[in-house]
Amino acid sequence: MKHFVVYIVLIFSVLMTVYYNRGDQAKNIDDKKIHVYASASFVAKWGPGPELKEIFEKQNIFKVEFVEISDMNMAIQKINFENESSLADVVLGIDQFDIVRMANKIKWRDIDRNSAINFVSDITAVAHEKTFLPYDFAPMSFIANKSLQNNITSLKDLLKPELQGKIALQDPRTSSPGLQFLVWIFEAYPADEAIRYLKSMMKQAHSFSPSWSAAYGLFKNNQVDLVFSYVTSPVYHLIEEKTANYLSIETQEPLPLQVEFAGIPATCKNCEAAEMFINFLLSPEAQKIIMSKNYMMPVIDRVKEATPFDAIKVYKTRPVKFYEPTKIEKWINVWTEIRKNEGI
Amino acid sequence: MLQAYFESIKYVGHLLPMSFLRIFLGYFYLDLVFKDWKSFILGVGGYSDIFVEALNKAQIPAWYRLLLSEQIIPHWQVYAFIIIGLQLAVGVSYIIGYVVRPISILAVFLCLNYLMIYPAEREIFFKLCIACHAILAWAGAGRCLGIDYYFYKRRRGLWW
Repeated sequence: MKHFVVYIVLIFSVLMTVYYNRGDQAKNIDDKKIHVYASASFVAKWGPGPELKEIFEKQNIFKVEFVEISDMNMAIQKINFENESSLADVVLGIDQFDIVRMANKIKWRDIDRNSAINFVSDITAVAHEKTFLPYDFAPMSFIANKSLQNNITSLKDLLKPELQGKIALQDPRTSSPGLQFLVWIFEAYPADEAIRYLKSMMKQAHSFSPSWSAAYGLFKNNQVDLVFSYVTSPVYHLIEEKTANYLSIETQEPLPLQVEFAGIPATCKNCEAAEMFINFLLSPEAQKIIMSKNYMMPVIDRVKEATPFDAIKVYKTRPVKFYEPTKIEKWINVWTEIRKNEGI
Repeated sequence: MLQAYFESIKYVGHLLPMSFLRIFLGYFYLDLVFKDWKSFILGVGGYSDIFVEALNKAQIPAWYRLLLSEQIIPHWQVYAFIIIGLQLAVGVSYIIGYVVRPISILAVFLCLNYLMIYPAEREIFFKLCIACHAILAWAGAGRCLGIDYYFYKRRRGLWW
């Protein structure tokens, strides 16, 4: 016993000595580097991240380091937890729901933006937020194979018996497109009707995947006929797979818009450089890269001209806005209850 | 002591494979110390990831979640220092083969802590580690290729 106690004391004494003599090894922050928190699809070698990094580094003295985030909620928790020692200079991929639901957990810095930017009319309502800047967007709808026999022109058509178990949806608790669909239903119908619709939809859904990619995988594997996705998805198939077999469905109900924002946490280390990076994202050059690699629409005018994105039909969309977080939570709770009772 | 160290191969040579396992685990823990020192003490890299993941883990018991959010996270520097200290104690002990039995029991508790904190896919690894530590404690693995043999020769008992 004596040996054990002496040994433990000795180990902790050595550790304390090293700790108090650690000098300046700690917090050696590189003032020429910005840390950008972004999703896996953004930082992947086929995503827009690497090309944006290369161009930004050529134009500026700052280096960009991407930090992959799997989930926005966890990324914000991480920044909140690390507080002053957080390395995050820029956070990308915050959508309009994240802004109201979780972004207030940390403080954000006002962004000094380039006033000459002309945002496309679809998103002007949310483009003048002081702390968040939109950098891409896309309307959302159901994607189908052109060979699909069903004529779908409204949300009600999705309840046809032949589509039972043939629709891939996302879980609104874990997926942003899933939440978009839920909000779309509650906006399109009065509350009672929306609840009835969601109950019926439980039978139509093949599954509620935790993420967009999982749901889209079901569609790609022909396990379902329809998937809730971005209207830009058919362009992806056209460019990457050289197939024009897919279409996005236009419904009578205006489509919801997904907008992605960039923000700078108040605890940023290279804040000016972070601002430069965000303003760079809004340059025509960067917008073109984001559009062609992220398969989302550019937020500034005239970028998509003479590209396959120009051929995307202009859909009737719902005006994008920031919802009350309590309202969103209420709708999620309603969905959860329906899922519990009606789900398979 | 050095003579006893090598002499142990002759008299308790049947424990030799166990000693290799012990030394490997010691190396594993020292490696963990260097990594954790960098991320928790020097603040390089995402030291908060582990806490964020733990708080979002579905299978974590309610009492541990409460302990984590109310006690450990607010004073995480102190806890990180203690955990690193214990990891260092396990690492050094396993490599030199000193006080291996009590240290193995300590290592089992460390692994139970990892089981709570780390994502579910790593559970099986830590369960395997617990089994290894228990076997090292049971066999008295410090008695072969270890300093424990020197003390064991002079004073037999459960500690060696």
